[in-house]
Amino acid sequence: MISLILFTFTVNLSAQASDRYSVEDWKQSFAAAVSKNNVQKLNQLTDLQKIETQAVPKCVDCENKNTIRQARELFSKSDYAGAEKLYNQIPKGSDVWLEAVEERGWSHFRRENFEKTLAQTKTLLSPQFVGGVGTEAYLLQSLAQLRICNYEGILTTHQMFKEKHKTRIIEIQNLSNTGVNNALKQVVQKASKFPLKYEDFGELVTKLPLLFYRDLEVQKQLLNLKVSQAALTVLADTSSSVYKVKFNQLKSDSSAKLQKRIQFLATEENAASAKIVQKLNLIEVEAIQRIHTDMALKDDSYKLSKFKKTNDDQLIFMDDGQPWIDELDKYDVAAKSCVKGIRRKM
Amino acid sequence: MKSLSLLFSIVLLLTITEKSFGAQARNQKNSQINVSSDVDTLGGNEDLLKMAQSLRSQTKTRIVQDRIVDRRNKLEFALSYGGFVGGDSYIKTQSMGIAANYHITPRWSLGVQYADLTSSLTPEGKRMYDIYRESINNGGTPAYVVDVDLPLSSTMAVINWYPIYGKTSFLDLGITQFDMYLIAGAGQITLSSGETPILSAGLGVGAWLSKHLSLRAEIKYQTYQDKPITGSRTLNTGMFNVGMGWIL
Repeated sequence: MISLILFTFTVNLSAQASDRYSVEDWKQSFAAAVSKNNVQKLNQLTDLQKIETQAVPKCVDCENKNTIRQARELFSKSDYAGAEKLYNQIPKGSDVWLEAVEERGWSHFRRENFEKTLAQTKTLLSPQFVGGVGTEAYLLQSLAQLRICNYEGILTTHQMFKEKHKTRIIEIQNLSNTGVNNALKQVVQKASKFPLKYEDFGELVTKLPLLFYRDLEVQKQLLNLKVSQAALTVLADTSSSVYKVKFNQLKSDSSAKLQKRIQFLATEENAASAKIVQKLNLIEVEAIQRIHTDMALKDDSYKLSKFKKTNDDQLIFMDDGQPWIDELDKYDVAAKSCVKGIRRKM
Repeated sequence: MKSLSLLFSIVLLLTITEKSFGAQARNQKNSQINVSSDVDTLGGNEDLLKMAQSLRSQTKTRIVQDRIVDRRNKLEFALSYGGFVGGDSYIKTQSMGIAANYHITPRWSLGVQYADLTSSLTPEGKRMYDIYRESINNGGTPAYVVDVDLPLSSTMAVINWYPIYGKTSFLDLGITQFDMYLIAGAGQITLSSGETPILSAGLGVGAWLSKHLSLRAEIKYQTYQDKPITGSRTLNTGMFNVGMGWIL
């Protein structure tokens, strides 16, 4: 289901998808060259550098990546409005769209527009993106909820974090120690076209480091592994010992490097998640304290905001927690929030 | 002095080394998440949740999305096929129509419709007709005559109001937005006896399949007076039709 949805999102990249490098095609060409003993062709097909260049381009979706880079530059200069304009330009079909949504959320947060922040996190934390969004989205939502005194929301967000990320945290933590798990083995089995894409692996991505399929080193080593596996299958019945040695070596090297890279990515993610978990715990402690103090707050201490005005060209649907694919990024949030600078007495 | 300086250097080096290793160890320790103490405890307190719910803060969320099809100042042409329901029990009438709708806003549109009407006898009409023919052929005077006034075509002006919208996902092929609408219309219907006014009212559903393609289904009540040989009468009929449209 998730892969189907993400496939819909990547519809404008379908042209790129059709141009992906197929290991199966390479295998067939290689088998033909071996059977005809075509040395020139064999030399071409075993030029790994060339294969890597074709299969794993250094930049996919370059235009949007460039846009998000510019947006980040503006964000770092505190030009949040400028950054948001650029984030808005990134289409849903882009590889970096989810990152753009998350960073736009942070930008709204910095501008103290917490309702718009929550509109972004609603998208990020929707069921469709379980495998594509990391722990930071929960922190952003939790922080925004703290700022508007929505303590119930904080507890719900943390509960959701626990339900959706606990297994993943354990999995990634184990992966950071071992560098291998069942999901990685299945990924190796499934990978057949390069550059890799989210929809190639479906729910397996939830048990591997975030966005691992976009990592150039992972792609490179996975490509080498798949090519060597394909070559060894073709060479199984031949006596071409030179190529057998070469591809056996490539297979063991790429397998070890892939494992090492995955372990590195898992360690990085684990460290980032640990910080997020610490912060979530801090927010919860703050929320618990405030719940007790805010029991005494009167209604006029809260600021009520309204939904933005709409016109006949817009359709309004209720949020039932199960958004349709076309509803993502279309959230409108109105909050009854506590006013700023309120003094709490214990 | 020299030995004092050496001692100081050793102490300094040991301090720095200890700090460095200490920081590294802390980092390693920090990056390990203790699931039972750090994650399992998050958000799980029911009593706190109840207290939080009793506070006055609240967040409401809705989804606001643009219509897939811009229907402001847009013209739509359509072809339709349908039939009459009820009315004269001796005939069944089918309709092939063309229509043009001008969408003023997504809520309102004005249109003109022309329908070419083709009628044939119902089984009851055919039975009566056969009895009539048989009676004539036998040289007798038929007791009953199939007395009908056939509708030939109609031209109407309509106004549509679209108060209800929705969307649907059909066979996972994509999401289609639709509007349900009310129709009111008036015009002329051409019968075999001549032209006569016709009024209609009904409801329809319009699905906007793409930016240019629409699919409509309508069911209408319509009333007009026909003039069979035995005298004029008011016919109250129903009409259904389905159609495909092209939005410019």
